[in-house]
Amino acid sequence: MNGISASKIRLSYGFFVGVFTIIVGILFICLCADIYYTEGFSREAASERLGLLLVPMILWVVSIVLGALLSELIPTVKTKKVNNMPYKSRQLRKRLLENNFFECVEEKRNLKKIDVVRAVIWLVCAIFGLVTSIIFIVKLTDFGHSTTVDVNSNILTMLRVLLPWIILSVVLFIFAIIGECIVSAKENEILKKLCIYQNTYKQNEPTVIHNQKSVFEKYSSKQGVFVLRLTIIAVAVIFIVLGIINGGASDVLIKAVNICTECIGLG
Amino acid sequence: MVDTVIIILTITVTCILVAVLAYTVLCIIRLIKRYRQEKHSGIKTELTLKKWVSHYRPARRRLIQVYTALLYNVNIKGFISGSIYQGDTKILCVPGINCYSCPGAVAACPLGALQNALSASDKKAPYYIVGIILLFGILFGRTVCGFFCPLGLFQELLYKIKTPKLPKSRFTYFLSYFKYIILIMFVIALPLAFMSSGTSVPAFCKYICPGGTLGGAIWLLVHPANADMFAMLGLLFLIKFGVLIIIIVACVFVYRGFCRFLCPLGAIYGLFNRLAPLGVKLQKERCTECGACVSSCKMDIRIVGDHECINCGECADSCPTKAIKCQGFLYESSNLCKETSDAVAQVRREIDAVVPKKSKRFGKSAIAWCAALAVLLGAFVFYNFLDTQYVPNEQTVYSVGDICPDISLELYGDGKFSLSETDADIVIINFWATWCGPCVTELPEFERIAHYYGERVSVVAVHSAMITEKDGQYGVLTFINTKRDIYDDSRTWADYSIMFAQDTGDGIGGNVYSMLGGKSLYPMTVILDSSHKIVFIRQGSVTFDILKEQIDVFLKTA
Repeated sequence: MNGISASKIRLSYGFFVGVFTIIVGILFICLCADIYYTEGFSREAASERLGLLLVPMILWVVSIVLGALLSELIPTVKTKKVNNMPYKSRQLRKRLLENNFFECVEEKRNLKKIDVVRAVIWLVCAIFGLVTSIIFIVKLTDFGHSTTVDVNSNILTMLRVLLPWIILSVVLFIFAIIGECIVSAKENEILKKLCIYQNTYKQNEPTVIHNQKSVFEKYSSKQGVFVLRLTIIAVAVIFIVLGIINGGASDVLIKAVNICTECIGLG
Repeated sequence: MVDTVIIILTITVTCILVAVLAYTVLCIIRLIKRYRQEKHSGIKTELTLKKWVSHYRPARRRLIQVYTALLYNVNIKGFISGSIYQGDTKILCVPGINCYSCPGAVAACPLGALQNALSASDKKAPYYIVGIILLFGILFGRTVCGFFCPLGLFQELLYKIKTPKLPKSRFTYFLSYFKYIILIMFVIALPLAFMSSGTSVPAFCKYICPGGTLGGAIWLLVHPANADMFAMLGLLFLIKFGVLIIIIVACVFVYRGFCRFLCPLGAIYGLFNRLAPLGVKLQKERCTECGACVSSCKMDIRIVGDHECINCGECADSCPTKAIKCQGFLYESSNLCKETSDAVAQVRREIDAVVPKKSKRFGKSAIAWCAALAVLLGAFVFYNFLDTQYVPNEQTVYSVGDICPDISLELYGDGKFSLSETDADIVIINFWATWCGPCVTELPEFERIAHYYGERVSVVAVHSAMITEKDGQYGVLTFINTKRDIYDDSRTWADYSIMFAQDTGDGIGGNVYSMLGGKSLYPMTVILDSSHKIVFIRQGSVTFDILKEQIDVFLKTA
């Protein structure tokens, strides 16, 4: 079997299983909703409805097994990924800008403009996120004055107020990502030019990747991390002991030995 | 009627076993074919069991993941009996997400415990659980995600299904910060917000966590002994089940979809990732910033070992300069990048070529695996055969239709409640606890019922035998005396006409709750008629309307 037909078979199978998985998932959700909205949950109702899903479920399991066998019979050829990372690396950009290429003033100016655009995009996104968070915090503090302790209704009330802001934040977030992609693409083009320039005109100079750390710097940073680790471990152990003394550990045990109905969706 | 639920479970397990067997057979056939081809072409090949095992065995990381999933859920007895483990080892927390409502779970989940502790943090500072999470974080970082989390294993197995996959991108990178929003909103803010109302709200567990639905609810509901739990299911179950299915389907197409975008525990551990001694570290002196490691990684990392890195070590082989070091005993020797210079390594190779090495029968790895298996086997034997102390007590259990024996309980405040001395037409016994959110929410409904029916109905609220403090600043009595009525702010629960009593025993059998069929599920409501016959038992919350409907029926027949 040649490579092209093998990849076509794998692709077709992949799409088939993908779509089938989504369909089975939707069927499960619809079944659950159907039971809830018609007769309410009971073991008999669940057994009866699940009987309808028996065949699709078995077919799904069989198709997965077939996929595993298919991958053995038609193994994929692993191709080495072409790496474009040098052009996208932030460290590369920093290194290129540190080298004083006096002839690349235009490119440096463009990079700065890109930084400004990027900052504006994310600032706008952050502002809306902050406003949403403030409204969320304000509604949270209202819970103490709520006339009902029905958790679900309190959260629903909060969501009704927050929903427009959440939707707006999500939309802005998506636009921000699209903007980031466009801006990054332009940045990569400029970095490519700078790389080519560096390779053409700086061939004789050795490329310094990183300044080697001195022994002192290496030791003190390692020592600092070690001390920090020990401190956090000590704090953790003290907290655990304090927790055992104040009864927090017993509370964990009490909650753990009883079925948390809320946690597993029994409600 | 044949129970379709059991049939589906049996068929699914059988299919998985058949698939594993078929895969093993195929691997053997493939290896034999390759051996024959090589023999035919004249290349000398030795087909040994060791070669087959080393070629086809799962990676060490996968074995560790399976091992920890088994160790966390070693109480097989729970799956058979349909009840959860109630022993003392549940005071400990496992590092990963493993719901403590799973029948097999032998320890607590850190995320659930954290939320419950935060809900009660006005009474008790959550030192214990914060200390445990700090300890796991600083020791392991996100190595927990890569090695010790059963939910991570489940997602990786789902990802193996051969479908087109969604590659990582800038979108997924920014989306990975969403889990910090989940952490702040659902794990910290919402439990703290409801703290003042005295209601425990583990918001992440309640609305999002797939571990609870999959590991707890599904396994409990499947068991025939828990058929009455279906009566508790409602909109919340529908939402959680929907969330579970969406996450499962998403994980087929997206690598570790829940871990990357939703898991708050991963968000917490990620903060410690660079400090933890175990894990994948980048040696900057050797790094040429080619980005091969970032390209080959399926998580949204910017640099190896950052807050998104789950320390799986799979990037180590992709580094052309061997700049990635996998620190710790968890990694296979091929991942390890010893910090030696090339010159030293060359000298070692020359020495090894001349001086033959003594063959060791048992390496350190084999000894470690033997010890680990011994621990697993010991745990299995202990929890399933030796730990009889926490088996549900073999006392007589009364159910609907039985005459309830005389109950005598101490009341909070003064006096005693005695069933034989009660002359009401209907007696309602509600089992509740201060640490149970739904119990605290529904209890005012019983006061409304008592007020509505007057002397015809007698209501007693029996607190669970599991308490840390009966009296004292944070005790049950203080709770009753200070808890405001939601319908009339000038009243407290102490002004209620219903009686508050304390159950007997230690909470695991030998108490009124277990006698009336309680199975570690709060709240529970029992209704007795005038002859003290049990006419209604309900595990889970009830409302005023449900109670009124039941009582009206019984009063008519009385």
